[in-house]
Amino acid sequence: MAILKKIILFAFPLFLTGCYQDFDPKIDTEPVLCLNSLITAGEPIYVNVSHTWVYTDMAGSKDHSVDDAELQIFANDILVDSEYIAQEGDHIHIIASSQKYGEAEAEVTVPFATQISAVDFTPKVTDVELTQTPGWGINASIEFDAYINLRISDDEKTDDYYRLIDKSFDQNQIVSFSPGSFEPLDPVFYEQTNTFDDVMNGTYYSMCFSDRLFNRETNTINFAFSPCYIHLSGLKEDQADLECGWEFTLYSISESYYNWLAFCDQAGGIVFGDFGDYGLAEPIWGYSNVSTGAGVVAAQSSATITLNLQDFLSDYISKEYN
Amino acid sequence: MKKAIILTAIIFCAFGAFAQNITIRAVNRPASEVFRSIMEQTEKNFVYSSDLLKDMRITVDVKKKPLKKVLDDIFRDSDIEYKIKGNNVVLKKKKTEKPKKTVITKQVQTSHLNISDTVKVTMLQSLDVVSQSENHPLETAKSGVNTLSGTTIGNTPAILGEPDLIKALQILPGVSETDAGFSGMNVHGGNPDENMCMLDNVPLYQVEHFAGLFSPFNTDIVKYADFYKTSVPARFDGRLSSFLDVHLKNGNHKGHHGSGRLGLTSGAFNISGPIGEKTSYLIGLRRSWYDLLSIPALAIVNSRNKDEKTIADYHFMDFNARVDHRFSDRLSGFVNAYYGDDRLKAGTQDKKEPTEGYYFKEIHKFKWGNILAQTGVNYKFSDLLSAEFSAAYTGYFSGMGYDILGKEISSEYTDISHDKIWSSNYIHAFSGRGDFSWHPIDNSHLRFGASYTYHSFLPDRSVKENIFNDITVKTRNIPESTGASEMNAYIEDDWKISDRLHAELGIHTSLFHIDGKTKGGISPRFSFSYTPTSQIALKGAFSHTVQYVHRIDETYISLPCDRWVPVVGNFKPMTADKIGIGGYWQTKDGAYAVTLDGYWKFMNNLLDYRNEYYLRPQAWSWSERLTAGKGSSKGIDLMIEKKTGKFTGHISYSLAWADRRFADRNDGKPYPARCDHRHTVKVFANWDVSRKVTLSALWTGHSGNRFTFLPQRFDTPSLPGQSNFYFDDEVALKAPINNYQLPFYHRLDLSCIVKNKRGYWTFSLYNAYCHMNTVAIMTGYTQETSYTHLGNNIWNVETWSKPVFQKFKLIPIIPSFSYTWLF
Repeated sequence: MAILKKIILFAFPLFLTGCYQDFDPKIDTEPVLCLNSLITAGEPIYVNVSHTWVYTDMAGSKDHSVDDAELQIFANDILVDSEYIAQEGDHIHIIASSQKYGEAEAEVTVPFATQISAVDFTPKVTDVELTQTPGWGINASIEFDAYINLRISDDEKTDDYYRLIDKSFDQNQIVSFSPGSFEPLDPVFYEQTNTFDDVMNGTYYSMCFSDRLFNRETNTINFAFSPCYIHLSGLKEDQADLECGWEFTLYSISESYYNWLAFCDQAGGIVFGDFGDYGLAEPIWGYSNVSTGAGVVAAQSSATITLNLQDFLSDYISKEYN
Repeated sequence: MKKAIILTAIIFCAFGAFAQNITIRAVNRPASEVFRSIMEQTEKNFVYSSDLLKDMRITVDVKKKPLKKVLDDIFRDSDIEYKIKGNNVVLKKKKTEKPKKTVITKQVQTSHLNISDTVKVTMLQSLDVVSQSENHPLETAKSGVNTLSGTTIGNTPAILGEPDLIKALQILPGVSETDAGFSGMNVHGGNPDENMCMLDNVPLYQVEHFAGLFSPFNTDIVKYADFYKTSVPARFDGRLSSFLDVHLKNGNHKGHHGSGRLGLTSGAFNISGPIGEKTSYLIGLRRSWYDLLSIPALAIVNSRNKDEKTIADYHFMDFNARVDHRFSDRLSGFVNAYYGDDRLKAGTQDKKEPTEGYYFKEIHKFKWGNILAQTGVNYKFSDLLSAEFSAAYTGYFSGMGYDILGKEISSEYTDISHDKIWSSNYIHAFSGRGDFSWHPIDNSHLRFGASYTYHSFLPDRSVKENIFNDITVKTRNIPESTGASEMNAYIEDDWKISDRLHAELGIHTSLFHIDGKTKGGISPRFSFSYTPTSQIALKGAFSHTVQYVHRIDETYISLPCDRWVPVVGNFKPMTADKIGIGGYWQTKDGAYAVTLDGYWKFMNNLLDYRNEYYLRPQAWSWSERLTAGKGSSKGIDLMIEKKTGKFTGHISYSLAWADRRFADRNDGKPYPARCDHRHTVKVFANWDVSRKVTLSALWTGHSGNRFTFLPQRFDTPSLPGQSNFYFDDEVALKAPINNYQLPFYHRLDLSCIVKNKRGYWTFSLYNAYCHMNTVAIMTGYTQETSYTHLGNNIWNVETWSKPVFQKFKLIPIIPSFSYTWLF
């Protein structure tokens, strides 16, 4: 955004002087039901039912609950109760009704989880400091870049959508792991990049992607973390517990989930965000797969794999001392 | 006769510049037509008062006679005398003699010549060509046709004092600007990309500079521009709404003359003159200098920041060059070139790269523009048959990208993060054409011709490199260029059936071959004019137009991400059928006129973005983001003009409707077009206060643009992974497209031209009463405060933010001036 401001400051001050004036547009519009739900395989189904409100309606903004809502949930065309646990492959149909706000419905299929069959790790050590203090043990500080490939079994025949998250861990007081910044090294992370936004804002990526740009020759998703730091404090020679690393979870998400996240990226951009706000582009509304246009009913399932750096650490330390 | 206040000038075509011998055969032809033929063979300007040649028709038959002999023949025994003064032929009424019937000229009550309304000469050295006489409502079968001279364009008040052809067109009824102050135009409810802008008959794709604030035509070298919005001659096709054919001045054969203009935002320089006896040249250059003006400001900013350098550079430029050469009495040739672009560079850069520490550089670049080259020959087979053969290249290009470099430098290791992207769009068109003009009989003017164009489209080319140390992720989207062949042929006849009935009949056929498929179009054209009296014309017109290339843009302003693309896949060519009915009446002396034009336009196979197209991956083809649909527009344009005297101008009113319907937009329901301006009023006045001072005023008012207003909000689903920096926990609810009409738009522009010996000053006030017009409805917050008296002079003060809708208004009063030096 910084560059946009610079350009506007530079190019438009003489004449694009804008001003704002509060006003009441007096437009007829009626509130409707809104359904929001994230259905996760293996968990009960929760649906948030609310109603829409006019932007200037402070009361509606504060409280948009629906007192008289009736909710029906169908799993594979069978009416289910609140105890029902969603399964991968379930087709969920939600219908809500209210005397005051009418009816709303949405459908979603819980995707099958895509398994991560392997994780390849290539470290590139950039700095090491090792000291050994008698009676205390080894102190070490290792700086490295981590290059990672996730091998996944994506089904080529179906349109699949994913969200990747990473979570670092370290096990005890001896090992302190700082995982560095995520560096996307795969076109899939740039799938939703709007070129103009990209140029104006600088590069950005999304951890939410589809399989449209997936590399089917290698079946991998590639990324890196940099700079990673591992600090060892008082490591004894016989101590083998050096567990640290990442846990990668690949969520298989419904198209509605993907669309919502894609919308969030676009709405925050230059074209649809800034230009749309200022009347220089068509304004965009929130994505919805609900019949009323309000809310998102999404679904997900997940698979997880762990990358433990213990072997890397052990090998490295023993190599340094030998 | 009234004093010759408004001089009407018809200037030369360069062909035949030094061949003073004239060959001309005309039987009972309008004087304007005869003079045009003479000026095509000489380079003399005809200067005369507006009403001098009214109703005059000429019969003359000479072969290779000197100009003086021809003029003697024409004006012998008439009440008109002429004097050749340098490059001008000045016509006056004889003072002492009473009007006599002439032998070779005769007055015909049913014909009129009144061309002064569009031509005013600021200085004799700067005369303008006008062909208004050919398009005069009583003389032509066409309706909805206008011709603007360079001077008319110069007199039209414009933003920042920059004379602008497109903005001059926007004062006409039926034409509206897309946004306040911008050059995009909607003609009779059409989209901006449905207007064909041509430079000497070659299309230009990008007709906007500075995001659309200026058009690319350097008005200092524009001779005249023909604008067709209802009747479309069969020789034009390829757009649905209007055709603008801009003609540049020809080179001066007598000496090197030109002008230089300095304005607030740009400067222009043009010069023309002879090269030997048979050749002339014209060079025009216009460049904005905002970048130069900003140098001191940037220097101050950069001197205050020791670490970082700010880079900002924007300019636009236009370069025109034209060379005309006369090979013989029959054969002449020309070469014409144009280059125009906008360039923007902005960013920051650390002033020094440290031996240890962090270094950062960020440069963003944009460029977009047109390039055009044309060459051709004109050959006169006989007095009745002539032809022009030409070859041309026209191209549009745009590109944008950045280069962001970050280095973390230590004594042992350097981390490098380097992101680069360059995205570009190209369209190339190579064409060859032949156009013939034939007068088989006196009352018929036949035009016919054919052309072939090869288009090459490269609309989505991008290369992106994300370099992280020694790993490079290259994302390339380099589609093969899409080639398309287009063939066109036309024939049209301007047929004066009788003194009262005039018709233009024509047909244009086209073939467009792309991706192994051939699409075709047959476009009949028909216009008629019935003149029951010498002051009234009743008109009707039908035109069918076909468009194979269109522009897709995500914003309402012109940006380098706009792309011109062909109609591909299963999409059919866009078409429009337009019916026009109208009438024209003028007073006996031609001082006042009333024009009434009604139209009904049906558009098919229009293309626009689908609903929520932005959710589809950027890597997808553009065509997968589009949907086809229909549109219609209808309305009435009424214009009352005062055409002669010191005080001229017009008042116009338009009543219009425009709507669209797409299968995959707005749930398939019809919706009003953005330019659905129900009521439009324009008042234009021009007052020649003295020979040195001219004042102009333009008041424009119209129903506001249609706007997609999203009044309701709903809870966001708060899904893990969503970026909440744009909205917190609420987001806009879908609403019908263009469901809200913005407030009535109005503004007053004023300009004043003051001449002196060497040139003239132009002073202008854009939006003189500073009514900033609403361009959007935004959401915001206002601070509310409440005071509660708790007693003993103790008050409880509460402040909170209240959500409000806000009108977003743009462009206040803008004074500006420029000076034009003539030499």
